[in-house]
Amino acid sequence: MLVFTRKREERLMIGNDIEVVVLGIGRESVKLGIRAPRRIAVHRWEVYEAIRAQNLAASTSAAVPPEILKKFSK
Amino acid sequence: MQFRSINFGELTYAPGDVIRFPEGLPGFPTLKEFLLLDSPEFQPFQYLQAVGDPPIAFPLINPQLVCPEYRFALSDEDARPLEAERPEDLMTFVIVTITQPVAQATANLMAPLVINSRRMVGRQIILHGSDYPVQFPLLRGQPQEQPQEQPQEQPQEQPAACEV
Repeated sequence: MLVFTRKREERLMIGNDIEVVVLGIGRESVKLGIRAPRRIAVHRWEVYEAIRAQNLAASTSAAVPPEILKKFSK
Repeated sequence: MQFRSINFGELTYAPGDVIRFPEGLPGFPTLKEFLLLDSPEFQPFQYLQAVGDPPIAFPLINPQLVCPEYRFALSDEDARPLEAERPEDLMTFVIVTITQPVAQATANLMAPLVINSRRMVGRQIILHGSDYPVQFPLLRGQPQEQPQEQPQEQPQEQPAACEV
């Protein structure tokens, strides 16, 4: 992993079009600003990870047991 | 063209049946071509089946069946890659995770799939700032016949809305 030490207001460039700026530094958290093209989706890691894990679980559950179909046919 | 699907055996499809997901799905960035499979025996579920080998499929359901009040606004960032011109071209599904026992099956309301059925392009979108859960109980409000082996994390009395 690449590690940088940055001060408030200092920036990083990722590739040619993604800019990360340190907006604030608190005791427990840092505030980051990200400027990226609209095609680049930026997510909090925890949110993305929850969805990735759920997609994985769903893909291994693809066979639908008949019981669940019965419960839906009201 | 032919390939082996998860639930429907050997399938023949035409190039026009393929739905492109240019970004793949979270966890599956290389899967970009899918078929939407439907069969009366699997109602109300449908399948998003990746074209290719090994076969990977995601069970889907119409979110209105799980949560009648389910609504979200499509952001410009999400609408653009979907080439959405008319709202009526867009179909929304949520991915289902089937569990054993089935009483604990869930639907991912936080990250719906939106498919432009005219352009045959789709995207899994992440509803930032919504309180829709990643694991919404599919059989909420229905009698649970299966004995519970582990304590329920979900409270028995759910709020009227599907958000948590």
